[in-house]
Amino acid sequence: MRARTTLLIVAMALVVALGGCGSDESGEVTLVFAAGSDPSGATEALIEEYNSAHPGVTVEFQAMPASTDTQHDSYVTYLSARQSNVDIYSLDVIWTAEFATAGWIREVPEGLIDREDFLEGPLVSASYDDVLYAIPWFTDAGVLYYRRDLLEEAGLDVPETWDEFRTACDALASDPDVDGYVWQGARYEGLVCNFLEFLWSIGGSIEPDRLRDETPSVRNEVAAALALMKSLVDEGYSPQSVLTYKEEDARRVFTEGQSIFLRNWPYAWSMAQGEGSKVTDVVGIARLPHAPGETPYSTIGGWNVAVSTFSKHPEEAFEFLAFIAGERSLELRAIEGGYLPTRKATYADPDVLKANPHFERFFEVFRYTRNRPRSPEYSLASDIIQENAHRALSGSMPVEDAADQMVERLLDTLGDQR
Amino acid sequence: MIRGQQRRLALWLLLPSLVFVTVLGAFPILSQFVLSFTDLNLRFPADRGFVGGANYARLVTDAVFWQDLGNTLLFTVVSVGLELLLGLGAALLINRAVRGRTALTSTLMMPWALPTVVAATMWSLILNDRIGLVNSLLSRLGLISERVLWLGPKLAMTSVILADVWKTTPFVAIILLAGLKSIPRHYYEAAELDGANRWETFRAITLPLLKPFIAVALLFRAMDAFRIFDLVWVLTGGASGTETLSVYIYKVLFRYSEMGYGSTLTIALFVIVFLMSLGLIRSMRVQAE
Repeated sequence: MRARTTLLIVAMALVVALGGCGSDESGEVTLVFAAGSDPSGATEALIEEYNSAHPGVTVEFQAMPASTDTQHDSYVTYLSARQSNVDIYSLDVIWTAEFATAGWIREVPEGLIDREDFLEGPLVSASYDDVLYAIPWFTDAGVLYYRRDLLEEAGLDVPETWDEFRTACDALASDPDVDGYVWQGARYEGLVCNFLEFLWSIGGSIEPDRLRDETPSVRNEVAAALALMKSLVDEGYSPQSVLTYKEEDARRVFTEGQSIFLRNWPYAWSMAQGEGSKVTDVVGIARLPHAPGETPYSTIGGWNVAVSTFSKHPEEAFEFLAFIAGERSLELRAIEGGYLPTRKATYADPDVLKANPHFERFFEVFRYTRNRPRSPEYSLASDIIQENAHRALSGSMPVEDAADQMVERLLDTLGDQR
Repeated sequence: MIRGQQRRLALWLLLPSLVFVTVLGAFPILSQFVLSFTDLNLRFPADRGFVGGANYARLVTDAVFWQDLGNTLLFTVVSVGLELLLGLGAALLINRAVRGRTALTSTLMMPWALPTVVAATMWSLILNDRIGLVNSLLSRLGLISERVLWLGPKLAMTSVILADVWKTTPFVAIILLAGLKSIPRHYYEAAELDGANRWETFRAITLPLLKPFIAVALLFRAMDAFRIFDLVWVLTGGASGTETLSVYIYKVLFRYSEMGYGSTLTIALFVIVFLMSLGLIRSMRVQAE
């Protein structure tokens, strides 16, 4: 008798433990928008605004951890299980191809946005195989920060070519504690952005079709770019420690007044003007240095917004997508959070410019931007670049060998796509 | 009659935990094993197919796997070796301390109590070449004239090992301290009567009686060290020859979404750790006889 009672209790406990999943259906549509958290609060304010203007639709903001990688891994987990828990995702520009080929995000319906309104680079990043899968939300690009005061004092112009750049460093580097040029050379995604900018600055590129058809010249360009990066370190223009620097490490050196030049994303501007910076008011922005006759391109960063294939309310989701990547949203996010808009018109908005006078200068840089390779295998391609570039920089592998390996493996990865 | 009933009840009561062990333990390992023979990619789950031993063939020729296996072995041998030596030293000292043993022990345990990610972030600041404590101390003492790049290409592995030794030596020390306390005091008294010096006492009494504890510490630490992930991830991200097998597996599984090959790597790691611990347990048994 007692045994049976115990059994019953155990069985009930199991039923309770396993059966706790139900669902409630009502007329109300709830959409979940997942994106990195926004410390300025602008995104949440916009969502509230949207919710009160749209009875029957409630958008919930799911703030994700700041780490891009963590967001990627969470999203892949949700989507590969075909979960409908998130309707709208904010995606790093490098994920579009991966998510699109996996069938995880929906095509943006024709007519939802006017493509002419957007900056070209971000728009390209949101498409794959000529199909638009997302709407550009905010953008980023590599910029050269320089010490205006030091250059003016020495009577030097802002260097444009690599030779002028070295001359400027030589002329200004009197203090051994002050470095010439700091950038991001740690083995992580940022190294790919930096490497590509070096490569583009000397006229090279690793486009898949070039990799296939002009392998030897691509190899030579890669070797030259690696040699250029390594020479900056070997000749003392950049400290050895750039090999361990991510954005914030390099930014800190610059805003501490310990370097003349810095390659970083636009966010560093406000940091340089903000509290704790020793270089307030003496910083200038320019395009990155380049080889004579070449155009320096900046790597595009930033985020796009897309609707999940598994969303149960795609129509409402796209309507919200148009709003959150719309003019009003981009303006508010630019004013409150300093997020760089993807719509050209926003750069001419007086309120936006009043809050961010430097946007005018950034807009010039943004006309010369390029995307990282757009491929579903991007994660692997990125790792190949990181690994071999870092080996070449650290001297654990000769530049020529690293270039051989990088190009050979990139050809395998980007050359034949599933 | 009553015994039979009780036995049946016991079985019924055990059932839930048996189910859980199977579901949570055996099932994942088995399914991982099955996955390791497929080419499942999370992005194309429908295209999944059995590929026989192809993943294992790829493993054999995968230069990254062998490179990372080498890194992992180096890390395991050096860090566990140092932790055993230092842990033994610390345990002996604490055991001798007359006063403040509790305070000493709890202070010693601090690093072990910290979550590894927190400890690693702390170390990445301490070892930072510009703002780090180590460089500023060394240069103030006049021992270095240039900033040392602790997390750079040359010293990265050394630094990772250093941080691991700092973090897990306490664990070894605690196990060995428990061992020291289990040695009956009269052995030492007898040795003293016989006129044995300290070294002889240590060799003839302490070390042999401590061996099972050393073996346990070694087993735990070696298994743990072989799977090291968090410390490396935070300190170097796997750069400069510090990429370990776990870091590689993580990348293959979650970055490249290659569940098939990732599972193969996981099984390989599992087999290596399993064989390693089997070997250690064997040698322990041999020594005990």
